Amino acid sequence: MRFGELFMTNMRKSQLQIEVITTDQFNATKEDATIFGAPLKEILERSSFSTKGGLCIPYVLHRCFTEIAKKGIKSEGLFRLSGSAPKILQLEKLFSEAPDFGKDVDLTPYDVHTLAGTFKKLLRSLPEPVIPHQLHVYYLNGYSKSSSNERNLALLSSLGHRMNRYHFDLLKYIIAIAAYVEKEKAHNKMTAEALAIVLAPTCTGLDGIINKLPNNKEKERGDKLSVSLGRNTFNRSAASHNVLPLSIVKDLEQWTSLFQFMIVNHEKLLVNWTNNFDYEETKIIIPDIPEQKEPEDEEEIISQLKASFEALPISQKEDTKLRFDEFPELTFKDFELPDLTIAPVIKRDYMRDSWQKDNVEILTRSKSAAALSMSQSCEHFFAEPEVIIDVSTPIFATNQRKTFKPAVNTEMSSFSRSVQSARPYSPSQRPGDGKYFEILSQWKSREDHLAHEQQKGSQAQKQEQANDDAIAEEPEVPSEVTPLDEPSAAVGQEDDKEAANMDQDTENTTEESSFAEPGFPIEQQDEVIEDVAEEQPEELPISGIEPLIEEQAHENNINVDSEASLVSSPTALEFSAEQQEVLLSAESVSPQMVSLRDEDDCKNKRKDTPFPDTHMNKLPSGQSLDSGVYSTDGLSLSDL
Amino acid sequence: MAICGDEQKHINRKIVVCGDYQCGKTSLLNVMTTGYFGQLYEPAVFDCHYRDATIDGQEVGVSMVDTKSTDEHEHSCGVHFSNAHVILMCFAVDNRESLDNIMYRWLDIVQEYRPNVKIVLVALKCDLRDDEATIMKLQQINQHPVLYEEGLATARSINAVRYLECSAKHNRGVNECFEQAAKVAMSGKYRLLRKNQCRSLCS
Repeated sequence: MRFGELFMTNMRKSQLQIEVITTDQFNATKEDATIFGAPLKEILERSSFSTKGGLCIPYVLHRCFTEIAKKGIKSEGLFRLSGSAPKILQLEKLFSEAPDFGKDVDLTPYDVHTLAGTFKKLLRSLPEPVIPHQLHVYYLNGYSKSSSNERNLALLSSLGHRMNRYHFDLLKYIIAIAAYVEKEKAHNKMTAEALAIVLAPTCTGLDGIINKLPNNKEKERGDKLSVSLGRNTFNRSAASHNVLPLSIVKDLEQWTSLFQFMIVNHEKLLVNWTNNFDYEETKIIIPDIPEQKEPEDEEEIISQLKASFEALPISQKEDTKLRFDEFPELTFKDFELPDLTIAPVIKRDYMRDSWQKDNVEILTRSKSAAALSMSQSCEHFFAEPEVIIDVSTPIFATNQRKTFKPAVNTEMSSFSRSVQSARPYSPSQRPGDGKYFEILSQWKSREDHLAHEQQKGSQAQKQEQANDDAIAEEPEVPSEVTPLDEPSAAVGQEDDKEAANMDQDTENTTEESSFAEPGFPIEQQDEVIEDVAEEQPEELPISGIEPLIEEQAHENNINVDSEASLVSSPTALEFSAEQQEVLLSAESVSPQMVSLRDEDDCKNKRKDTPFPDTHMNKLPSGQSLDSGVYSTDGLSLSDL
Repeated sequence: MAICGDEQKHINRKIVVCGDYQCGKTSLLNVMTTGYFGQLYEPAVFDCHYRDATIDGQEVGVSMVDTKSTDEHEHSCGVHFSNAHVILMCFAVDNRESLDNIMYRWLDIVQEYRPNVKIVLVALKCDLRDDEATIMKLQQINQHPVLYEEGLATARSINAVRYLECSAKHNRGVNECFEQAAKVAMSGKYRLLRKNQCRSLCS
């Protein structure tokens, strides 16, 4: 951890810090994606179609559009109306079946809008959109409505040739199709502008980026990964989540007018694109597109790090209180992941649905990006101990010094339990809801943190002794067994354990409450939470209104869940490795089970989706016990 | 400290409307806030309406957010869901696909961005249920307008809190719809500004 701090300050000062993780690094393609969701090149390898003009396009697009042209190019709102979602899913499955990828699919029963929806879905699901992210800057900055048509044409023609061949073919095809649809605008009411409104977000992937922007949960956690989009960079901590970023809206407007221009002037553009357009004649200077730098050598990075550290003013050096030379035996290899290209970052909300879909994001493609995420993890590790990005675990695990191991959150549950015994749970308060974030934000200074550690070190030994007795009584729960089979047993264990610990904890109560004081705001008792009287659904003014849910049933859920979240609320203390192991085996398994079961119940209410039984196995050993998950985010369950 | 001493409760609730293309979301919101039903077709933009209401003797500011429904904007819809108190899922009675898409499309988006939010299912264009032209049109493709029981069954299956029917054109059930949505938004627990937060603001 101490080295992490040093490394963080170094990274901050030096030029090595990379603020941008590009979007394609977020776009980890799914392994099982054959057509929908796969990169364009792979789609073309599997099933492609070459048009008369020699364009190489995905077969799905060809089939869909020919069918649309056959059925009714004149139907109103073509490409704008959304088809029926289940049928689109059905088509998606048919087209991505392995041997021939839907060569013989019968498209006659499908609606025109469903086919158009499938067409658009393929374009939207491309990891690299039709117009690659790299080129967005040149399009957006270069094009302007006010400048002359010739200039814009020249710009667009030249930029087309900068593209990858596959993407360029696809763009040509789309513009040609749009022009074809636009000719029938008297019947289908799709003018160039209406088509541009539809095509701009599909072809540039602007809407998909919103998915990548941090949501409220991540904001609370404080993950500071930034997202670059075209000419904009969204910092995770800075981006506002409840409002669309203004820059996206502006970019969308620009793209819409750009696509409108392309559709209107499609003839000249297509001529320019097919012939070798000589843009040097037009005297437009377009800067060369920089290629992505390859990761540098380790030695260079280390030397640069050292140089940047030496360049620091003395006062800042003293701030760090550590020198690089104090770790002569550490090289960059100590911090390097075993395989940087596939360094997984596990999402912390693996309890949620997203665990099923894409629980692993590939964030780090290059060493420099790995260094970035490492510096960020270090930063969080220091500033807010509970919001470590999980990539820190493999980094520190490779390190041979065990003291560098990040704080596993097992002892936090014991801490929170001691708090629980000190301040009994009252139903009017919502536990685990942002409370601990506030506590921990007060520990931001190093001295405070160390002082807390020392206090807790002494507390920990007592706590451990108390826990040893409890361990002996309890049956050990193997971590691989999925708790879904015996949810009631898990609850029972939880209750027993609490009962067992209660007596022992009361001995420590006085001491613990005193040590918890600086972190725990006493004003919290002033917190005003009101219960609104439950609705009375009997007398309703209109016949169509029916109460569907008994509030009572919700209340039962609330109690179970809020207790679980209280037990396992995130805090972060620093224990030695041995203590961690003891606590790790003893405690944090069952709270996880409880909250897991509740999550599962909630999910089953809405939709009968099977919960993955194997999710416990997927977790790396250090990360399975990460308790940040339990913190109820935003609207907690008790709000129901 | 004068600001802190003000004990008056300011409660705001956010209602987000979602549903398929052209099922009448914007008309519903227009009638809710202004009482005016526009005959012209105007494609929705992301728009926010605000209206004060008194629910159970408590003054509440209710903001209602209109969303775009096309495929390209589904993620930007999700952004609006992220701090909503209630989501009104709308479908049109004369369009059976819009009812199907609630199960297959909108529920997924809502679950992705705001799981555990309260959902109210709203059937729109209910006046078309008795409209002969609509019935004739649907009979040609072997369909009939969505019945009350079908809507109710869908509401049960998606675990909605309420099922409402209204017609913006004839202004039937719109105000009830608003009241019920606001009531649902107010139900449960809510927390006021905490004092320690307040102190840090003032100091």
